[in-house]
Amino acid sequence: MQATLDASALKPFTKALTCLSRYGEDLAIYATPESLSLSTTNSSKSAYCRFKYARQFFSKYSVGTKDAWVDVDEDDDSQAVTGQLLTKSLLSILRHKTVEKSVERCELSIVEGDGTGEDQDGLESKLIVRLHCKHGVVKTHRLLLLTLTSFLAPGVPDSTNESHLTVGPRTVKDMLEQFPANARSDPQLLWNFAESEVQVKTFESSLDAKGRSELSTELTISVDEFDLYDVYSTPTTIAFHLREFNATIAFAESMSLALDLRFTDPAAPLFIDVEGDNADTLFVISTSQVPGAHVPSQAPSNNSKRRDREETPNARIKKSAKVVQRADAATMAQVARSHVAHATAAFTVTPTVIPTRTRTLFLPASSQMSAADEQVLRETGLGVEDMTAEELTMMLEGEGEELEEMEDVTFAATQSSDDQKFQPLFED
Amino acid sequence: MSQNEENSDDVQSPPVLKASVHDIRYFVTLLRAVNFVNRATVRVTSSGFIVVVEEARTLLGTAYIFSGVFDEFTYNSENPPAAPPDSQTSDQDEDEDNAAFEVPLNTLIECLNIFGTAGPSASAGNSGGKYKKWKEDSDHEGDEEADAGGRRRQSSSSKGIDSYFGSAAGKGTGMRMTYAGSGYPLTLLISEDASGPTTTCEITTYEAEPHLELDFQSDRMVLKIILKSSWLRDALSELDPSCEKLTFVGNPPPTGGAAAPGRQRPHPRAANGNTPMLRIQAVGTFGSTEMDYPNDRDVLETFECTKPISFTYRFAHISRTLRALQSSTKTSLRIDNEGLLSLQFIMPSPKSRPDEEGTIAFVEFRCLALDEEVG
Repeated sequence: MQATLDASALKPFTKALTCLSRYGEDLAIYATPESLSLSTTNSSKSAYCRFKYARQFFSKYSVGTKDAWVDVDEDDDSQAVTGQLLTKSLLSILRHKTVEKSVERCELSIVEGDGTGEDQDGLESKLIVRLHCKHGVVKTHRLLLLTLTSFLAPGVPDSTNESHLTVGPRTVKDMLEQFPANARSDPQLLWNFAESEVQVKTFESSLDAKGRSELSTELTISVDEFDLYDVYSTPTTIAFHLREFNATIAFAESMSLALDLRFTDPAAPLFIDVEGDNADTLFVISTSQVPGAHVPSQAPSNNSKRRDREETPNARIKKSAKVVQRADAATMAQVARSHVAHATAAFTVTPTVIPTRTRTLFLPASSQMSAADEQVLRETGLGVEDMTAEELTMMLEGEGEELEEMEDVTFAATQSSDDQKFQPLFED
Repeated sequence: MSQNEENSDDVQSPPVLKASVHDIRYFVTLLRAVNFVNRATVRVTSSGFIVVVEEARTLLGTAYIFSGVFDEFTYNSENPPAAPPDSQTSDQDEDEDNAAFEVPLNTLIECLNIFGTAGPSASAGNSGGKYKKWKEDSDHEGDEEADAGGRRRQSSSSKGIDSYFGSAAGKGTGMRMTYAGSGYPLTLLISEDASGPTTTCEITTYEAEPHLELDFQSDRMVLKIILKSSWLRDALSELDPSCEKLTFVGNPPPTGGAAAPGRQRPHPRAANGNTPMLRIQAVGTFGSTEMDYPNDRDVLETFECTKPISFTYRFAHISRTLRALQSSTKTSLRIDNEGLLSLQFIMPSPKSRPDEEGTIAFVEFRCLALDEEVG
């Protein structure tokens, strides 16, 4: 792979790397003839970040052997070049203060370790960063490139009940300044999207290392601050950690690009798109279960545990769910290609949703209702949302047999829906 | 101890060294440039104040602070005046009569910075606005300045004209330094301004012990480069700290390099061939780095190389020069046929023009090359 960045493209590229470095340590490089993708996940795999640069972003771009500078067959995914390295090592080169001042051109190339490249020593793949500076000074950095062992791809959001928000980075930043985050603490924020206002507050579970609760802050802003405010059903409450979100905001602000937020139910990950020139950026941040968000009096600590046991097959409901799934080498080419062909389409494919009807049947087993349950209840239109858990149990008493039967069915359905969920990505 | 009875010096004999300066920042800058080992040997001669430090029997750092740097500089030989000076001194490279002692360099610098006004370096190579801001800082907010100065992380490349005229008008911290002679402490009298507080520091001195001598003989020189310090500084700061070794590669310029003509000869710009004239390379944990410098007068002001060379040094030693590099404008890099590296940094003075004789101090580092690995 060879890619050349001129001075004006180098800046956003470095900003992207800065953002990537705040998400995770390892940088996965995936280069196809059409685009170069840089992605990373954080250590707990609860956040994912991907920058995809179209070939037009670069002043020169080619993938393949050196003589194949001409266009290669787009469908030929064997051309894809992959590698993995520490984001820090690449960033420290490009972020150096002298780079901005003096570099005129930056060439990135990946030399496969076949021993025939200009690098004589050995079989290791290398990422070569060649900086052409003023006065003809050339700085060449060779970074060892590891084999990309696993390619992580994000899950797919539900599109049926998707909420869609667009907001300028400045607005969000001004809001988030009220919620200080530092290297030690990574607070979670609870976002309540209501009809006419958005309420952000510190999540109760944000305790510091000694178990003391920190300062609790609550902030309400008008919906007018958002450029687009399309919440599927109000109010919707989601909670997620601030660290990666802050990195996203910082990137969007440095690029002066608006953020596109997409989310579905409180347990599904938050998707953020930042669209720039010839660059397509996707952030996925997992959300946490919000117990009793709508009914503050009910904040049971054992509730989520029980729910976990009941609904283990559906991993996405678990707290801090993983936003990425491991994909094997065979499928990752297809994943990437579908990204190239229909970048957004790939993520709007509708997976099979867990039937809401069966979800209600779970409730009697639990003595208390979570926000998600409440939400689901509301959606069923049964008019049972005002009942207390006991009343509901009473109502459903005597249907135990039926319930048990249904439970089996539900489990089967859940699992099969899980299987199906990622299938659209792999077919094309 | 007798150290406190220095008042009696006036009646007995004049102190060996009496020096004063109205703004200590330049002096401190020069001391800091070699402050990588605490124990420094100070040699005082009639022409100036020389500070020598050595590390690992490999690296020798020397700051030459000429008498012109000081407002007042008096040296009175301890030796009997009748004796001919050259027979008295044992140092080979110093023909002059001198007085030598050892002093903890870090302590000396801390004492000078007791008001937090020693600054990051009044003469440090800072351009334009940043320099000005710092200067104001050092006048008004001394403590913060000192913190920043102690680390001396930030620095920008080119030299503003401010650095030559700027601080002459500023009211810096003044100093008077006396050294009564062997066995006496180095006494510093520091005052922030005429009406402000005054501090007296006495720093214990030690008898000078012989230190590493690395002679650079110019007839054995195989590479000589004069370049702007910013080039070398940027190169060294860009290298990954995990690097262990650093190699300088020099190749004779393509156009009649063997003749090694004088420094005034302009090098043709387009003469950059396949082999770079100067390459700095280093290998670290995550990869390797090479920096190639072309045959361009804007980069390498002087380039003399008689034969292709490649010498490797320990990066930790070379990076000791960074502090001096940050404050200097020009660097002379010389390597002899055995790999002895001599780096001289011109440290511009804030109060004088750069070409004025006797006031421009410089710092020199000499470093032995690593033995080539066998096989």
